[in-house]
Amino acid sequence: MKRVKKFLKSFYGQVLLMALFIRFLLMPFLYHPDIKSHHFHFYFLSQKVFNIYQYLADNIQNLPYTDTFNYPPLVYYVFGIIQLFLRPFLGGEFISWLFDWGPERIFNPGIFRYLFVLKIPYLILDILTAFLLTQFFQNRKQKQKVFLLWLFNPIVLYAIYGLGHFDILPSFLALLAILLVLKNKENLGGLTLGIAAAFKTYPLLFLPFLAVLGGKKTKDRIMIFVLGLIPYSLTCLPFLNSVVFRRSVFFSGLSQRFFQAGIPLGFGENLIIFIAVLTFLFFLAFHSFSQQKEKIISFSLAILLLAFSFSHFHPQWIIWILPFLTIVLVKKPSLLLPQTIFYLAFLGVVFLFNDRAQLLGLLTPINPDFVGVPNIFEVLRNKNIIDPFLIQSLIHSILAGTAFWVGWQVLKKNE
Amino acid sequence: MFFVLLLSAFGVRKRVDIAQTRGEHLFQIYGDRKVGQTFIASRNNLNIIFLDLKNAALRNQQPIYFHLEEAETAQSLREIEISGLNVGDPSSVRFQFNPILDSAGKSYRFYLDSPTSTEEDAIEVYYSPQNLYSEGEMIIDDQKFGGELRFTSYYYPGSKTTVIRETIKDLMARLLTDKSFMIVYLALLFLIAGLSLVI
Repeated sequence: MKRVKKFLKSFYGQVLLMALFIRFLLMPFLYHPDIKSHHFHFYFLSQKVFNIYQYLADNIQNLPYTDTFNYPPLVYYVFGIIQLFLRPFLGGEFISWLFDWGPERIFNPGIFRYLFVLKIPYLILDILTAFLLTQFFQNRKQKQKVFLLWLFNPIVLYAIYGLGHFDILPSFLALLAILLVLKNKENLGGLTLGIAAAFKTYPLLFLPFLAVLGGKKTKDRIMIFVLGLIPYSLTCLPFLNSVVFRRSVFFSGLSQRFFQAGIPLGFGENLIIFIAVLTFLFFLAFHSFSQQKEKIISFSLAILLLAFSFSHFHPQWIIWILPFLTIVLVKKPSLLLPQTIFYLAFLGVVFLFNDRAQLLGLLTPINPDFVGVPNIFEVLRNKNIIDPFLIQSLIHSILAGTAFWVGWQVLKKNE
Repeated sequence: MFFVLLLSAFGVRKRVDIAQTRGEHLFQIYGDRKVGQTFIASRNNLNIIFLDLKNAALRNQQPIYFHLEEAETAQSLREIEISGLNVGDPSSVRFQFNPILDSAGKSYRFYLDSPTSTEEDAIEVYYSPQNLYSEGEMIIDDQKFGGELRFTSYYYPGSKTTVIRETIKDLMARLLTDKSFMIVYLALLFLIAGLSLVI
């Protein structure tokens, strides 16, 4: 008890209480349909469905929600089990809500409970991420600063509690993996990164960089790389034969977005910009920063900045990059302006999606009328004010320009 | 919360009654074909129905008719004519009419037809083949089709004060339905606020 009291009196305790208060205020009142669709799929684990991909393909005509499950299998198993643990707190009507995709769903009085309880795992991971971030610094002031910047960043709140995606889990694990490598636990770091990739594939992009920058000898590098591939391969292996799985996970629109931006070379061939620059970054890391572990953060950030610049990103992807941006901002406060512009441009692009759920639609638990309020895209298009795609492209270009600047600043040799 | 109420007052001009927003399938409307939906209004002053339509490649320029009837008597209540020129690829199309003052609890049917459209330039309407709405159904040429059109019905709330008053009333009613959650939730909020003030 004394230790708890001492902690609560400390800087971290006080800040944490304030952060929790804000989070508790937001959790039951912000709703994005993705949290429901995810848990709709996770529910089937309790019905002893072990191959969700095949099950959905076979039963899609009889289900009220018809989208495929586009994530690696570990997501399904882990969150399926988490849902089972949360079930006693969700109330008896929860399953009916999961299966209600009709007009009554937005008026459901249980929604506040469901949103609050379902976001608790994300809250835990969010708080753990805040503490994990402090481990990247030695200086007390910097530790406090990164803690504050994470917990009170409105984009963090929007992404985790508004969009309600599970991306905070792979994001936390990827960060933990990098920390482990920085603390000279390279193999464990590689393995942790592999576990992160088993939830969302993007941490695999960091793996070659983690190996090159984290390993001293070729043998160490190969070990890190192989360990990083194991969890992803093992969890996907049982499903590889399934066409439905490959179509849902490997070839879904979500996973193809990195490869869309290209320069046509003729004869059906394209130069995929993301891959080309990623390869360039790899050689830069290999030749100019080899074994400089501290550069892993910079390269991870640069890779994600690249992803945001050259793809029609999903809003929840911002959770992947937020920890790195926060660390870099503490290390280099001069990046405050470009980071602010980056965040504003991110919001600009997202709010211009033709999707009501990204902005006012999030507030439907408070006022269901927001389901009918047109989004910015619709207003611009329907009233013929200006082509919304043009505005979105302009803002995305500003985001890309800012990302190049931030990337360059963190990769400069003397940094 | 205050911010949301403010947004409600200035951003909400019509209040949602039924919002069936799911469905990616398309059904063509042309010739004699009538495509519609039955529903039960839960509020008085029903005055708008939004339908998600698609005018592929903006080919259609024909008249399109919206009909609203009492479901049981088939008595025509409102009719609106628009042109294919008003329909985008795709777009949400608003059919607004004088409020039906005593609509609450009554069963209605609306349908669209476009006799001069052909299969080649037909307007399409979004629908879901799933039975998502228990109080109504999609109908094609007076026959049940199985599934629901993608539609949202609204009622006229009157003044901004009414919007705010109804928003607060609805929210409170929904919050208080799950009392055990609200008690735990408020206790948690007070605990955290209390701890940060006391310690």
